[in-house]
Amino acid sequence: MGKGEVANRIRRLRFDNGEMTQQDLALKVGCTRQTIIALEQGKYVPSVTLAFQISRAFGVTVEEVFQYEERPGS
Amino acid sequence: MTPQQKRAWYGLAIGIIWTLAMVALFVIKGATAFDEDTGMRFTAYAIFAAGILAYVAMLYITGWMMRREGVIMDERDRLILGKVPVYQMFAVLLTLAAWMIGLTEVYWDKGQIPIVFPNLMFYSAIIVNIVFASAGTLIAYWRAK
Repeated sequence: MGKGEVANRIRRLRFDNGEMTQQDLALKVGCTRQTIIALEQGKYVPSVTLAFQISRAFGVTVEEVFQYEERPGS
Repeated sequence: MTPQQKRAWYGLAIGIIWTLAMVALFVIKGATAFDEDTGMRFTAYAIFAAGILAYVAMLYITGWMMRREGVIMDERDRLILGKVPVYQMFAVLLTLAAWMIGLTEVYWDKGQIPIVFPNLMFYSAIIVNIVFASAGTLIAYWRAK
């Protein structure tokens, strides 16, 4: 299997959930605001545990938050 | 800036002051005075011990403040901090390599080195190790951006 990227819709979901702040989400899932920033910028891929915690904070499935995208040509 | 980065800046400041104090002592008194001057030897031991104590005190105080404020260290922080020992190891190895090459070339003809140098090698390895615990943290966070 080729290399791919994990994209996410955290920023979109935050705004859909009453414009939740990065700090609010961080407090809900027990991580730092810097980690939420890194996730939204696509510079960090979370562990499975954190991915589940984030999806539960929004009340959606993991697949609705995180998408695996295969790189073209890989 | 994360609390770990702030802590690293404090550690780096202590490390730089510590290094400057040790370098100043050997520059002012001269490395050869170490063999003859007992006072200078004990001053060097005192600076070395004071640096370690200051660093440990900083770790303890900042750790206590972080616990009191409920600062979170999450999986990304742990992942970043996990890279710090690599920077420390490279810095210490480079320091020892520099000492080894320098002393070998300077004292090749004599076949032996003054007793001050094993002391200096030990001090520098410990100081570099501690300085790069902080510098490595800052580099690791900077690279994770």
